[in-house]
Amino acid sequence: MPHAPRLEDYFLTRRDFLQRCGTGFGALGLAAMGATAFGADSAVDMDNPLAPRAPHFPAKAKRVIHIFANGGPSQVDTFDPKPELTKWHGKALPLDLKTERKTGAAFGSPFTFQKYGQSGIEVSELFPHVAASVDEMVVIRSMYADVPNHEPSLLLMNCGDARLPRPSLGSWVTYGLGSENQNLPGFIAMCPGGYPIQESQNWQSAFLPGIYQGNYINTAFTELDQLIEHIKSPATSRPEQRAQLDLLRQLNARHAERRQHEAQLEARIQSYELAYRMQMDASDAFGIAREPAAIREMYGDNVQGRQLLTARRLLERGVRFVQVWHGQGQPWDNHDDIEVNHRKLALECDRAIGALLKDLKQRGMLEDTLVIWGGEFGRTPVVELPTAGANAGKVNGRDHNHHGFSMWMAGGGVRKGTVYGATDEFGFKAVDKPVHVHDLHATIMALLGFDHEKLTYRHAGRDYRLTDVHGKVVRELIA
Amino acid sequence: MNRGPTEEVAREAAKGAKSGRQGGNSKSADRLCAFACTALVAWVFGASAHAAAPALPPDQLEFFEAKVRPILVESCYKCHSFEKGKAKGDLRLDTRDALLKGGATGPAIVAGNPDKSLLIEAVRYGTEDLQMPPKEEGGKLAAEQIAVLEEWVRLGAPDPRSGGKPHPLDMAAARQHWSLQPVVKPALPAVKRTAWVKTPVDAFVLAGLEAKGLAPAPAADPRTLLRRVTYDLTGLPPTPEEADAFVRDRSPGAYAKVVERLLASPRYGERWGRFWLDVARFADTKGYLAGNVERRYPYSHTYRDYVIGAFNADKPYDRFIVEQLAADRLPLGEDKSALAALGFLTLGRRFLGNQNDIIDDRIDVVSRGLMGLTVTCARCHDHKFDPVSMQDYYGLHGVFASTDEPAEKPLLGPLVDSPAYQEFLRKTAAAEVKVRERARSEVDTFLAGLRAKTGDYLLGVHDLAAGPKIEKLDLFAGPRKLNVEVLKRWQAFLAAPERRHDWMLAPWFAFAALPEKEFAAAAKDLIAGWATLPPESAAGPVVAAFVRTPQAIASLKDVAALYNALAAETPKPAASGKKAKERKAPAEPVAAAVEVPAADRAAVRGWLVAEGAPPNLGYDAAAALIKRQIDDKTSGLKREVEALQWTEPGAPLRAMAVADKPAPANTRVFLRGNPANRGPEAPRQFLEVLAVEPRQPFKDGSGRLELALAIADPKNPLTARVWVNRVWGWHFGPALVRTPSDFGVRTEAPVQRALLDWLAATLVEGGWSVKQLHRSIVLSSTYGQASGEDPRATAADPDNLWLHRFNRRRLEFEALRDTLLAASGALDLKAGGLPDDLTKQPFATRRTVYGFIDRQNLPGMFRTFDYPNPDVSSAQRFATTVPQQALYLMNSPFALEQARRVLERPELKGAGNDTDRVRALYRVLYQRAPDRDELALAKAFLAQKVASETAAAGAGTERPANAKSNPVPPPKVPVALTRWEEYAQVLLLSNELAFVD
Repeated sequence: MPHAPRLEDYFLTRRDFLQRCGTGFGALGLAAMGATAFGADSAVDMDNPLAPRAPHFPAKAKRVIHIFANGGPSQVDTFDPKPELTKWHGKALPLDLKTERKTGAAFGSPFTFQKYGQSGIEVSELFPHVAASVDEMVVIRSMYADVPNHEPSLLLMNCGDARLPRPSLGSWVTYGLGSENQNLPGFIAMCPGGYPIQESQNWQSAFLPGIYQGNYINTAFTELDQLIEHIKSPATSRPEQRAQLDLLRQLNARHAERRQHEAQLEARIQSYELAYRMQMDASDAFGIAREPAAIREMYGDNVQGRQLLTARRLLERGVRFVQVWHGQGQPWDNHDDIEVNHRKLALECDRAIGALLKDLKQRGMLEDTLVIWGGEFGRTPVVELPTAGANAGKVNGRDHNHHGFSMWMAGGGVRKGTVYGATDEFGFKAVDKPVHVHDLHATIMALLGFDHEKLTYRHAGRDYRLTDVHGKVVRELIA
Repeated sequence: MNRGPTEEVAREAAKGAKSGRQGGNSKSADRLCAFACTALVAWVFGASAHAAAPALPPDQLEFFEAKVRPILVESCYKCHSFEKGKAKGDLRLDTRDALLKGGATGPAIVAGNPDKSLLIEAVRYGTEDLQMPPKEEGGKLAAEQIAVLEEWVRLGAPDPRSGGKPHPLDMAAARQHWSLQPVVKPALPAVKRTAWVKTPVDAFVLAGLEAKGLAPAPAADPRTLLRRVTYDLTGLPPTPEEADAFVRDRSPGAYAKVVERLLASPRYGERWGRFWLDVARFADTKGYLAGNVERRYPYSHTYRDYVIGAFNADKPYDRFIVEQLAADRLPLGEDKSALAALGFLTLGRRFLGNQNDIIDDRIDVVSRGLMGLTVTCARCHDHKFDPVSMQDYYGLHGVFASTDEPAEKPLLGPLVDSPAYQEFLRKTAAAEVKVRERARSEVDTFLAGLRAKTGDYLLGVHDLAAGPKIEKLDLFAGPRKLNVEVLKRWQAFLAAPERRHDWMLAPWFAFAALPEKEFAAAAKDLIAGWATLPPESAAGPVVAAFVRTPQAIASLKDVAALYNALAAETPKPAASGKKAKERKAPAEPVAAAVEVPAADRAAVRGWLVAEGAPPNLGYDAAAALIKRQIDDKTSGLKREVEALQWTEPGAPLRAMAVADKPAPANTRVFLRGNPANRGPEAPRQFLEVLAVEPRQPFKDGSGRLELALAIADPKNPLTARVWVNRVWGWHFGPALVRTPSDFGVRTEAPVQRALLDWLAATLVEGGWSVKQLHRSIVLSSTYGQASGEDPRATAADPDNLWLHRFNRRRLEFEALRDTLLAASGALDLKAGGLPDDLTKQPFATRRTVYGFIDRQNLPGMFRTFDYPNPDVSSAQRFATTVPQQALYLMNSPFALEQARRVLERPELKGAGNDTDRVRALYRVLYQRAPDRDELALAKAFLAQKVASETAAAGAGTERPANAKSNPVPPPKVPVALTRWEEYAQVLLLSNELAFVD
């Protein structure tokens, strides 16, 4: 039986809910708006935990899509051109930075860079479609993290802590803002083929209520009932189910009459109607076949194209946070054959990401949608040496690099068409205006209208937040 | 209740928060704002008395107020004050005490001595790593401001600011907090309506209600009460027969009899054990581990069964605690089953094996779970609010760091030899042999590979000597795919002068001495010379091979290639076919061209595997070099060994135990939580605020047993209070203290504090009997109240703090799933043993408490129904209402299966007509008869014609090839429901089923 946590701390009371419910189910969202503050007196209504809520201050970004190039894309081959590195190709660099494995001499990028857009920001040949929207982006070339290992770095990038169970960025955002569409999950994590490394912890809600956890979707599937659990009855038709719910409503109404229509009873009654709508809305949201041929063509008919197009449809329908992973495991982790593999990976996703940016722009959604791209870290500008059982004995790849890497953000109030920070002349370490992952988180929260120090949750005796005791908002990233 | 004025403000503000939203008055809006900003301050200030400030001479006071305070407020408070909620570097500068105590780096000032005061050092910007205020906060102070501070410290830092709360580590002050005061059994209060008082609980509750001018709600009707108490104590609904019998039984002891029946039922432990498992952050797996490593705990179920058994046996709660912390240190005698209790410590997440995180998790589950104290806040700094220092934390850290998990887990009972056990041993031995064989084959292949590169190593050593000196051998060896260790061995080996006369190496040295220019011609001459040697000369197989090869030798590379070819061995057919093929191809040109007699090949091999030969590293050294590879290749086989522990019926039951390390040791404080930065040693001892004075360090081994005894000590002010509060909460919904795992100084005394203390004292007096505690609660009139809301009472007591009625509650996940199974008649009451996967079809039908819990990827169903996060000790479950819950009940194959099964029950099958059938359904699901309207609704529904076409599930879509772990498998398609089954499903979806009044 439910043991409601300290209502006066976190939640609206049942009566508040009842009053709102009194105006009918359609008004739920509106009623909840503006009635919210966070921190010590955060108000999350357990009977409607995804009700939309206003952030601390007005902000441009209303929703987020985080495109995760899991495995760690190489910055010097994508968004951080380093001519000096090419000059040193084959020679030992005058740097000694610790990475995960043994590394060798400088390894110039096999890819060429060129300037794009009004801003003239240089992007490598791997991402021509993405680069077409470079004027919408701020490219951060001075990201850094703590360690060169996937597991802790994934958790740091996603949850703000390298090891301990902490809520993910998407969970915090959904907890903070609720969702605009009650008929769809508020936070969706897409990854084709299975889980990335560290699995569902990447979108965990940890000590926040389970509803704020990312809803995992295996985008290798295409049928709706394989995408969302229990979205369709395998044994009753829609009209039959409608008839069932009509009877249920009558029975529940009789039950509630004898109990003064208590709010939690009402909430559960409404949840069936929500669920019924969800079945229809979900089939619409995931129905990319309904998109015009030209749009589908623009995204490309492959897994990346389909999942990003689906993501756009979800964002359009009010889903708060969508995380899109490149694939199961760690596809961008190219310890060997980086030229072949990075080219292949970029070919898979460049067109789709480019299309997403263009599509959001043409729909006017880029204004208030924050697009984030990056991995959990970058790669070394030096070549990785062979390790038994590790990289197939090849000497044409790069090791993990947390000292410096690139990410970009677009739309949603970012300072567009700019580059922020820099790595050293070889692209190894962030040296100019370094941005730690905590700083990025603080900035993302600011873009969404939150003071990252104040969006907190009381757990185990203290107020936790995404950035723990760290993080500084990088104002220069914000328009 | 004795509450301070500031608490009243906080309370008012909280009310304002509610009324304000409805457009309340501006006064409360103001208060709301104040509350939002200073809630913590207000709560902490509480009613605690503060020591009066020592009176300062007026001139000093003026100096401070006029000169010093403005600097501190303007330049320091932003990051170092309670008001701003910040204490960077653990330093606050807003009270004299805080200043003198200082922060992470020590006291901020030494009164009278500016040069020894860190504060002065910082503002002087003298050293690079200590400069305050920092540049981004305004930078260095003006010279005259610095002078003021120096002068102030020189004067002895006169400071009137003694306000604020006492320092958290002021133990005497902390012990004034209600929860840290000794438990004193309160006298029963006098009440007017004495007839209402059935147990002492009622006296406390009624006294509160009467004082508030409230009356208790009427008693719940018998059916409601029976359903309530049955769910409450067993997590299952009453049977229709039990309901009828209880309604019929008018005897005065009828209810007490029911309570005894329920407490004696094995179902009781399954219900209440599950509550405990929430606190114990129980799961069957270790969480994320990299690679193909087994994540399942082999004997987690023995802990689950221990917990359930402990509740059923009414094991005294103090004993329950001690066993879970230190059963290995108790004299257990023959019966070792209590060792299973140690799973409490061991069954947490494993954080990729990070020891300090594992220890932190254990400290948390012990301190928060058993005492409601958030000790882990002191991992990186002294607790900001509660009387817990880093010394305290690392004292406990030392206890758990001195605790180990034995490699061979202890047996729970005497080992009984049986054919099944022998079979288990045999299979285990066989599986272990496979692991060793696989490792050996990896090493053999690795060594053979080294030998086959003989030429490459020779060339490597040569090129190294010829070229400029290389600092990092890795950079050289890497691209050539040479192993650095082996290269070094070759280097050393070749350096010995006698190698020049070794038949194996002499040809190499001869070629190496040739001039680089015109190498081919010189080599030709050299070989031609060798060809004239008489056959009986001892030139050896290498020379012979060079003589025999038709290939021109144009460079040292060609020489090396021929060496490689000589040393290459035919890969063993034993190696897996695919890999072997890869390794073989492509043959090098020289190798292809030379025929080597078997005897020569054997001689070369003999040389290479001889003791001391460079590529003959020896098994252990070679295995160490390719450890990672061996681990990768054997991980699957190792999992097969482990799995036998839960797949073989003959595997004996063991405990997920711990044991003391032979040499227990104290931990030195990790400054700022950083294990690389050690501070003073923290003796292994109990928490200072709770310890009996004078505090003694633990002496017995790790100290775990002493820790357990200190927690279970009747004088510990927290343990009994925390426990009775939890139990109350599991009975009533909200607990008396609304934060059951946080009894720290920020937690207000509950409205029902006297009741809480009475329960705690009575628990201890009654030998910590938990069942007795249940009796005092469920036999009370308080518990027996109806749950309906009375508008007047609700207005006066909106959150039901005064318990003017019972709280209606929704079934949580376990009770809901169990209820569906009970309704369908499928519930299997088999108790204990290995857990079942609840998501797999055919669906398990045992109680939900026996479901397998994978903490890493908890299936969506659990999360949807507010199952607690199994990574941390959980105080209370959330109770969200979300459409995913409805979707599960409407569409999941499990729910549909139960709807179908209901109609298969004999009660339903035996029904003569439709009306009887509906009646039978109501009886088995709701333990009551339907009224006329309900019968009419049923009839109408059953008669309705609705299109039943297309429920078409997405059958036939293939799983993607590399879907390693797809949590959403394509559903199996059940046959469409019949009209009757649809009707039964509606009844299962209803609020009547899901709520307990």
